[in-house]
Amino acid sequence: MTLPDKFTVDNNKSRWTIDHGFVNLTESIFSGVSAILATVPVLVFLAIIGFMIYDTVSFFQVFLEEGKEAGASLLNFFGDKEWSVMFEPPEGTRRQIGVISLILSSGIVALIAIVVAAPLGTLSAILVSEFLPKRLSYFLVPVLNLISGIPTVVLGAFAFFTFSPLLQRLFPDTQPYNLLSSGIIVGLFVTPIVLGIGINAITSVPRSYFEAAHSLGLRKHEYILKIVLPTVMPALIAAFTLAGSRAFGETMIPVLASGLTPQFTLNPLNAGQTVSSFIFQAATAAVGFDTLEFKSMFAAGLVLFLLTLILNSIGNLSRRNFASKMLSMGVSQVDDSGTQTAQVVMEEVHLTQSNFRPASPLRQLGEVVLGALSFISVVPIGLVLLFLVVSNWRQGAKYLNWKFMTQFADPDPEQAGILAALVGNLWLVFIVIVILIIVGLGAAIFLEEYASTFLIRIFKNKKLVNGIETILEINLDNLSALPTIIYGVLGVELFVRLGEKFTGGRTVISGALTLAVLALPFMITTFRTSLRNVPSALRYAGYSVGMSKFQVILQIVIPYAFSGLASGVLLASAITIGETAALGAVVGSLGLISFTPFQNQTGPFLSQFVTIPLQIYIWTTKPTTIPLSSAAIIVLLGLILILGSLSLFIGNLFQSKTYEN
Amino acid sequence: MDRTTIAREKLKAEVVNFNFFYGNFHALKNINITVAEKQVTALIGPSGCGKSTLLRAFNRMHELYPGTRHEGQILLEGQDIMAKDVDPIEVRMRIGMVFQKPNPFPKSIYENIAYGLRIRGINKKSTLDERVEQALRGAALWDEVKDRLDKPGFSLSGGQQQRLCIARTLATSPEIILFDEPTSALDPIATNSIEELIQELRNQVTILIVTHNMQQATRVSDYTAFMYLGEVVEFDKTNFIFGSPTQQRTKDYISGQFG
Amino acid sequence: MRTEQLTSTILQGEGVSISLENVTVFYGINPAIQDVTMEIFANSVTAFIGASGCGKTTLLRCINRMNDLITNTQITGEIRVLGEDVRKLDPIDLRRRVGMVFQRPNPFPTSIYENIAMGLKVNGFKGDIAEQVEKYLRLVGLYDEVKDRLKSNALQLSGGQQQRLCIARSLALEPEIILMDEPCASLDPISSIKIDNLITQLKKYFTVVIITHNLQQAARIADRIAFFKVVESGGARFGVLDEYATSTDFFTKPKSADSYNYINTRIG
Repeated sequence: MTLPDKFTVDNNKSRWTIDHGFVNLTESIFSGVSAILATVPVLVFLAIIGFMIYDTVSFFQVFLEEGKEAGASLLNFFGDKEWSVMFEPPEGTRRQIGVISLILSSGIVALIAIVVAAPLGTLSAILVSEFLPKRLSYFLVPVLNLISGIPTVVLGAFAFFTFSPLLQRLFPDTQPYNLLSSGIIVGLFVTPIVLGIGINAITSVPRSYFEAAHSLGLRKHEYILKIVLPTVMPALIAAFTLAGSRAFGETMIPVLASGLTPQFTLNPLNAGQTVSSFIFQAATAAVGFDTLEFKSMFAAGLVLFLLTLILNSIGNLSRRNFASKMLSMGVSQVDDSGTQTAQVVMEEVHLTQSNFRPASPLRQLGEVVLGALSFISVVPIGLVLLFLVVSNWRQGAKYLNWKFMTQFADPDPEQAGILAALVGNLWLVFIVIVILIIVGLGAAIFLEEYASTFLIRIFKNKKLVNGIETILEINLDNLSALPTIIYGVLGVELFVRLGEKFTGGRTVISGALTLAVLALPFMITTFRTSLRNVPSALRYAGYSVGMSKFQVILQIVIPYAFSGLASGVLLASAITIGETAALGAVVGSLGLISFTPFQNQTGPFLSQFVTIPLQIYIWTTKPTTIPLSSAAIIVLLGLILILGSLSLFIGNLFQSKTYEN
Repeated sequence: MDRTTIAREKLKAEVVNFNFFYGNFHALKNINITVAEKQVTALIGPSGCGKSTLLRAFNRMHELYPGTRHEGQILLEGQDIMAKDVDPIEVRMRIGMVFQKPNPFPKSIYENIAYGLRIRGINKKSTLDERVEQALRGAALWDEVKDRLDKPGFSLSGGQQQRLCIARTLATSPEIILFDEPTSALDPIATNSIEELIQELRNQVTILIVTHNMQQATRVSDYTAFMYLGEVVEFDKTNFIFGSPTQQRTKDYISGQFG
Repeated sequence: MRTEQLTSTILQGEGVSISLENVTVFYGINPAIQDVTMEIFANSVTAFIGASGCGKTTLLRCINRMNDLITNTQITGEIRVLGEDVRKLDPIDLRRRVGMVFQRPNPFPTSIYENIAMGLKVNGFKGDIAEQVEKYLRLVGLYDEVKDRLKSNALQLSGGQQQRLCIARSLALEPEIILMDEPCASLDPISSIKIDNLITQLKKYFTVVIITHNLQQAARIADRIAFFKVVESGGARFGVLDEYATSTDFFTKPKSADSYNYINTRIG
């Protein structure tokens, strides 16, 4: 190769007209704004704690005041056996505030859920990562994850109308409302948590173990049971904890399937009210802001918050420990230099090839059994999904026509439609997404690109900064795993009550802000992962041609991560579109809404509204309108399916564009 | 490819018209080599030449990954081990392997070795103890670890880990041991001890080794196959390959012109 | 002055392009490379060689302040590029003037054309961008191979082509110095030879500093060799500059025992 003739390099500096002052200015503005946005999740955390404590104190004040004559004391909170906050007490007595009965019901639901989710999730993870060809797993995992994407109000209806009668046939003692049915369905609902963490953990087991095991002649099940499972056990236990925590705080399924009557019971065949279903009941009851009923939801909320926070922290911490352990796995923990001089003693080896027994046929059987079990593990979720689609289709399809889409809700089922709910839902989610993109992306960019330099400049201590970053990350993980009803309670206090002057109370904007706060931790974490996946080699390439950090982020990182970011946004919208519990709390008493936000004279932001999941909840509670709810469920599932597959599609674009090197 | 050079030793294995594909990529092209019993055969060549692929075909490791396909035969004492009706697990029981990076299991030193024996039907404690000790002695590791057999395999240094992996393979008494660049992750002193060990093992077992280090090939091997772009360019006694190669590409490679 | 002394006695150079004086780089409290003093001469190829962990990459990245991007690095001593202290220069301007090519080709995931044009745009290039792109694609011998698909994605090129594109991307900014961190490490032999040939011709216009593990390559292309070795002291392991000599001197009569050993275990 020779250089072209007459090649010259023009080193005249005036050909480069970059304005460094301007570049530096944009840099500081950009990093400043993103730093401010990054404080939002911290503020959310503080707000939740602050309001919960403040209102819990005032709950106790009102309680002590009201029950003064009946000898009310703070200890009643733990000492009472019953919880009767929603009932006006007869003269001379006080209300029972034994929160233990609520906790007990939540605990039973969570325990049953873990018993269901742990084996199903673990076996499915084994199926996906060890038995199925890659292509099939790409298909199967999203299908299994669908169960988490289904609005819980739909699963709750399934648990009550379909699953409980089935249980009654098995155990005649089963009550119409019962904890067992909730527990099992919640278990299926949280199985994808175990599945996701399980797949991650199993695939992080170094490939070298796999090869070593097979080179020794291990069969698949021996490799999985003896090498893989013991290695990933800490991660699995973390997954069970997180799944249990999610189950503990799940709201709509127990609301619909376990009843709204608090009971002190240990029998899962009985009805019982969980902590979160009580909060939902209190939040949607038509009560004044100053009543004990209203304040009680904060007291219950604080209990729920603390318990799930503890469970989540344990789960998230041990998950992290596992991940960092896997990173250092196989790296020698001992300095080689010490042993270098050790004398190597050679001895004669005697290899005896004859004294091995022939392979036992049992070994082959073991492989088949484990494979079969793991295949069976995906059946329950598959059946539920299939049933939901088929039965709702059969019940609701005849209502599913143009009229249904263009009419408002109406007491007469023949005349009813979901226009208000559909428009309300889409409008709400649109606002949520706009907020999420601005705040979420800003915060994610700060945390991922600026935080460590920024924090080091302040604290000058690498270890301390690492600690702070870990705490921030765990805080985000915990926030995104909190029961959604907690965000509902926060929304009621912050946007409906305190912010009424700006939001107009129970309006679209209050709902949107609540949902945005709810989805923000998830959004930030997803955005961060996408940003982190941009190879550092690319960033360095950007810097090496003289880009500023801001330019690298804007021109290289974000375009490269675009499909990942976009698929995250779609996933967040799929989550928020089906959210019921938190919105129910914000909307309060659920009435008939026969207008879209755009037709209301208050303007689209300050209008009252209804969404499809809320409409489904309203319709499920009345026998005459149950078929309508089926029709609405089909519409909602359709919307979620479209968003979910769009997200997958865009995510796959990302896959195919991976950086070779 | 002069078979007469091996006539005096017993033939342990033979690769016959072997072709290998990753998807559409033709990774090995019509390979024919022989492996003499209780001798060390080295596969050398620049990265991407297919030497590791050929090595891994011997215990059918490639079947663990989808999208691969082969034509031709690999004969182990006359039996085609690539045939469909041969259980790959049986093949792997007879042909052990040691990898580039030491990969002990996340278990104790003792268990790392005992596990391979248990799946072969040995469960008696005293027999296990004896075999574990024998294997560790064989891998020149016994004196260094005899007091801490219950410690995890990771607590050893890199070189010790690799010798533990060799012991793990030795314990199962394989007929052939495949070494895939066994010293590339080790320091010079650890490398030296592994090379001595290979020399020692040669009296007991047939060895096939992939190495990118030509000095290592000259030090440890009896036969050498030089591979380039999926083909065997030259296969002969090691001292002929390095002393008087007949092919220009072999000459270029060993004199450092490329690679 | 010390500078003049070095120039006159050891290394006959054309002019000092980069000068390092007592440079030590720390990661946190651990030194990665200690007390390096050397001069790198204009319009020549200088190769940094040495075992892994000797800090040569760290040192290279100090020259265009790439290490600033890794938090917690600290540099003591003085680095001057064409007489100017790098700490006093704007890092962004510095990086245009001191280009860098990485171990693995890292083209931006955009079109071939845009890969070069992007750097020109952010630096406010006044000339004709299309002309500049073509000029430098020709320089690295890539133009004829890609002229019909300038708009297609750069990731579709082969590894060797990608690396030449990355070189063109740096050179199009008309830097005074170009730093290369094992540019051939992930390439096949034929692509490597193309890049070697390119480097030997580039020194007419640029100062080249290259890290390589391949001593054959160093001997083929470098005018001077800087050999770094790892030393252990007080529980810390760090690199030091062990020998700095012209290529011929270094390979035929190495002065230090460590260089002699290094050469002998690597070649042969």
